Amino acid sequence: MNRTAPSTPGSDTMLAALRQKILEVLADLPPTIRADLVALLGRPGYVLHADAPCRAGVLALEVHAAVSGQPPGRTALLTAAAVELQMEAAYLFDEVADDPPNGRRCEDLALAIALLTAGGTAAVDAAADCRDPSASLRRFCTAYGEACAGQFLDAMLQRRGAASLEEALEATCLKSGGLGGFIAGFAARIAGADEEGVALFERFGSSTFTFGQLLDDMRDACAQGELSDLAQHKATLPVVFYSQEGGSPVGLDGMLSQDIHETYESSGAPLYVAIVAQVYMSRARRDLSLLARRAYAVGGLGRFLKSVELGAEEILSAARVRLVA
Amino acid sequence: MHVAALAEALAGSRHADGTISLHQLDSLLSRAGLEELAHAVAALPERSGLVDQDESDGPKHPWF
Repeated sequence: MNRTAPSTPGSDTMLAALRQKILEVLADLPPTIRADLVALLGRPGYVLHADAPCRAGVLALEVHAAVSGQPPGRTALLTAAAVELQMEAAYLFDEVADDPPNGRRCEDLALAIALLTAGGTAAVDAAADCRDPSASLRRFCTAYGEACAGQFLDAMLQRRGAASLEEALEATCLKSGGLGGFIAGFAARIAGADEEGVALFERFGSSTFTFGQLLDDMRDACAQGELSDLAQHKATLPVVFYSQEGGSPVGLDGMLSQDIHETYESSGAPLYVAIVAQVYMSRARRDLSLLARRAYAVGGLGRFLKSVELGAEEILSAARVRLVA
Repeated sequence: MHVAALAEALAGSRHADGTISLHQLDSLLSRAGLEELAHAVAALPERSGLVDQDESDGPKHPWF
């Protein structure tokens, strides 16, 4: 295989094209819900917000470009729109899970389901011209199911309490790793990768998103106010490690005292999770090398991975510095 | 991944003053055959002058 280097899918121009494609997909929905969906997706962190990183869509565009060797066109944008909408649905579900349903949240649940159907519609259009549309779409559904299973496990462990380290990591790998694998695998299939290539792309996506989630969990464990994962008794890896080390319980008001902050830092939880996260970054780098050996044009994916790594640098190095002799 | 074994090794690498010896942790993991985790310890970044993008790409944009 001899593939030319693609243009840059993460560029502002390409993000604008992705956002335009998403608006086109949403145009098929009934007017009753369309305006609310567009407003939802314009919130901070969501795809239509100007500062949103659009990680799902960008990963899909990079994978598609790595396989096809072509600058992203209509099919690549539809592929990216499909996975981005699915990710936004999962993200919205997670927001609702963190904030028990009230009137507004019940509306958000309906919007999450609408996003799923819109993502499915875009996936059908993206798969129309690929080698095996039905197989691609079947995997689109089953792979997304892994992320759903992770969200279920995450919520169940939080309610049950006393999660083990293995359970906490399994939930992370299923929830976020599953989503990364889903995104990269679907884009690779649509672009025409063979099964071995698809498996490698899936693994790369899974490791990258697991790494990103672990870093998020490190950042959120001891965040200010009552929104920290510790205060919410979440079953994330740093919180579970801290609990198993006999960490002080959080007060009933959900606020973290300075004492708890210090106990958390000295428990070793940040360093522990940093090591686990580093394993996933190493796995992602290894898979990127394997993809390059198979002659995929992975330059853009390398830049994507580097941006993820740079975003994590401060948290990882701080975890190393605080306690290390 | 052997997350429970990593937790044990971390506890075994802790000094009386509460600090953790990365060298000892690396050795414990290697001796236990957990090479992937040992390599991860060695690969942990040291604080450097790299740009912190976490602030600009911060809590508004979680993976989940």
